[in-house]
Amino acid sequence: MTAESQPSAAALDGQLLGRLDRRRPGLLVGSLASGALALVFIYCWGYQIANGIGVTGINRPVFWGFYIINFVFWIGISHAGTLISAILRVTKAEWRRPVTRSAEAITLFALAIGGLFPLIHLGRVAIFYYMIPYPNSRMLWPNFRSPLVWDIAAITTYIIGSALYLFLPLIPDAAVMRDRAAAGLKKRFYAVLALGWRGTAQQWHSLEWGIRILAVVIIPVAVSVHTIVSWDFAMTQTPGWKSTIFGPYFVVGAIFSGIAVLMIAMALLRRGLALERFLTDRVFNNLGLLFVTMSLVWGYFTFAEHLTVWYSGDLFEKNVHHVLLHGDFAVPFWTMVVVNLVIPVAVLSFPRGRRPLPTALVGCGVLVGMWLERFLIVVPALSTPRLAYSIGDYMPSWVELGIMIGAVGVFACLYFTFTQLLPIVSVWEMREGWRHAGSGGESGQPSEAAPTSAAASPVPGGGAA
Amino acid sequence: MTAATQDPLVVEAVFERVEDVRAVVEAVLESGVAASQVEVRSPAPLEEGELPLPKPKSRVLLFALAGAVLGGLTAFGLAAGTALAYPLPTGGMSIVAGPPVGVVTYEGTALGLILMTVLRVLWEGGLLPGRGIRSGRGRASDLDHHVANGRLLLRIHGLSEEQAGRLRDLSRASAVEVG
Amino acid sequence: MTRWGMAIDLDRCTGCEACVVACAAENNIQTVGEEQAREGRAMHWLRIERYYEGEFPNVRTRFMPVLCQQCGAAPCEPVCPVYATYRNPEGLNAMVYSRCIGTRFCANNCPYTVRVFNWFDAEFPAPLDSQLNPDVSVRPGGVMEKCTFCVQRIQAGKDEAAQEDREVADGDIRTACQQSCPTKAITFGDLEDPDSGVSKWAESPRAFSLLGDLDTRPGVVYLSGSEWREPAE
Repeated sequence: MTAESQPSAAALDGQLLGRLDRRRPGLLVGSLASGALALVFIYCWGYQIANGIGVTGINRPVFWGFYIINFVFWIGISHAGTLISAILRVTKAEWRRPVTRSAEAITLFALAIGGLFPLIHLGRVAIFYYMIPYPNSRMLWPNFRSPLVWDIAAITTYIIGSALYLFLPLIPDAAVMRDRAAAGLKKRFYAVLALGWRGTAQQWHSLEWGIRILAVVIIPVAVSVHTIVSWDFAMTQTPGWKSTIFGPYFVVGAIFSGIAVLMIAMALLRRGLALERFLTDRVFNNLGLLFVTMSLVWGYFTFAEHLTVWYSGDLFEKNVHHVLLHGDFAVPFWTMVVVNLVIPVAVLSFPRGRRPLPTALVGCGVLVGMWLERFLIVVPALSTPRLAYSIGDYMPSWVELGIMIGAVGVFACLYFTFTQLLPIVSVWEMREGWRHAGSGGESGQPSEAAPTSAAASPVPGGGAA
Repeated sequence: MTAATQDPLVVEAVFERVEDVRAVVEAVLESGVAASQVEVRSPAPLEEGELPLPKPKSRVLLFALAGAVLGGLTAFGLAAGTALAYPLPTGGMSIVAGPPVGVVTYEGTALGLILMTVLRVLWEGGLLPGRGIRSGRGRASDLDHHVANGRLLLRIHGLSEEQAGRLRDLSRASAVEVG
Repeated sequence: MTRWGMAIDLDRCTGCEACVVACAAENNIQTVGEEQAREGRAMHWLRIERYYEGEFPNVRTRFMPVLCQQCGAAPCEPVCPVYATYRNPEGLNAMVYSRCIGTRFCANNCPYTVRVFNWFDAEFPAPLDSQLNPDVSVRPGGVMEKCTFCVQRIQAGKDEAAQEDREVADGDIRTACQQSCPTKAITFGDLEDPDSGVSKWAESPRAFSLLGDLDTRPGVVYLSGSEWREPAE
């Protein structure tokens, strides 16, 4: 027991680990409150299963409604994690370290909820498995020509991929939790998650390879997922849907809403976990620039889509176009343009607008706007069919509203619970970051420096990774 | 659980800094202990060459590519083969169409790649259930909590009594704790 | 091979809706009631679309019976993930109710908006239950349905012909809408048989396909002598 203890390293770790040890009643309250909201979700879905899909407001010709809108919306949100974590890992941006875990968790939970909506939407959810290919006594296989089956393939891949992509970097942290927990149920829980991780050189080496590969692969998967979601619409011949631009338009929209969630999450994390040293103003400035770029790209796509429709003079397309821009849907349409394009450009063009609070507020607006965008894709096209006799209307029922709001509760409940159980900031990746940043000694440990200055030194983006 | 740590033939020592570990490892290797007997547990991945130990090898990439091929073929078989195996009357419409097969194959390729990558990572790290832990490597230690708290754990396996004693003395100079 | 087809002479149609009633009776179609119908959930497989021309009082009404067009290249078919709707060898867009999981994708992709959905389980309160057609299944809730060209009548006609050891003759099989039309505006038969009544109607210079430029190759042919060939905007 001779060691001169190194207060600096210990202090740095202590800060981080102390946060894990601390009881956080706010999270528990959050879990319970959102859990109550999740009950609304369960009740409404149960009510719908018991009484039939007719308890919704959907009808002929608007056969798809809130469920499909929310499906597309949540799948879009799920791009937050892929973005921050995969792209930033691939580009080795140092400031990713405190946010990767939380972004990956957003992806997984948003996907889990997004993936539920098509099931909620089914007329006979009890036999949803007819869509899955497996040998069966019905002697039937799914119709692979249907974009819905492509959806299943894509979303299955994406959800498994993002679950594993969240899980792999979590293994060493689960081991940290396991080794720090007192014997008992808690320790056993973490032991199961840690799978016997010890931190040997071989384990680290293999893990780094795995993370590197997954980070690269998850990006094309994410692109394909939202492209295929768009094909649910674009592969039809419904006026307002059949459009070659939908694939990239949806991908851009998803990334746009993903960044919006990210901006909100990062502003909250920065405050809640006192991460000002890592999520600096410069990070927000850079992300804000990316955000406003996506806003402009989104605006460009929207313009291109509507201009070509308007110019074509196609009767049926123009009917849909008309209700969107001047008709029943004009108010949501122009609201969308304002919150998705006008406000972001007006605020984020200025350095003062690219600070945490304004970007988060713009992010909230964009979330509303992107939800409206999906609403405006699904409903106007359906309510304006070719044969004018069938023109219809759509108003969601309380069941649909309950499920939509309840889904937010499910998401929040999952997220709060996750944050309570596991480190929301990746411990080992932070440690690795400190090693990279503490470039003074060969040791890599942030050796002599006082804890505060050592913590301040890892300048985001300035990593030597 | 603690059997390994009480085994006299395993020496464990906890260090605060990497250079202390390196000094001890260098001395240990000089004394005739093989590099394969040395195991270092760290709270974060170490840089290449920080320790005078052979670089671990990984075949994750190879398995990932194999997984991609496997997944792609499986998906292709599913999308194209099963439609032929269970032909339905389609009134002259093609039952196997190119683009859907392509889409499903694309996703299957990615899924196969992801699954094989993760499986291989777990396999190489000895993290899969039922994968035997060879020569005490990767076994739980009473000192693991030090690693969790950011220190480094050096374990040397398969020592003779005399070697073990010498190593303990050697480590004591710089170690936080010796087991 | 057979390709079942229908021809509807719009110049004969008076918009009396006898066909709509006959179709509902023949095919065990749910009566959803006033409230549901107002929400757009009426389940008629066949509807008479009304289009008005001119200004009051010089108004002219046109009627257009619209039912499943039994397309040769049906947009509804490829989008169904479970093969619940598919093209049968006799040119019908068949619905397999037991396979349907209710994604409603087919209905969205139908340019004629003729597919109807069972939003709730069907109820046939007495005495309606005693008039159910035993040859037609009652569809459960959550399932898509649409005009079948009275496939049960096609089957019965073929069975009868087989028992009498002969081919199905033109006019043997009559759909419920055809049977009930007081002006004989509807004819039904085999489009592959050049001598059948429906084939002759289809060759008329007045014949056209609804939304024909979509090239869905409908099995339903409309006849109209007026300039009006497509529904008004």
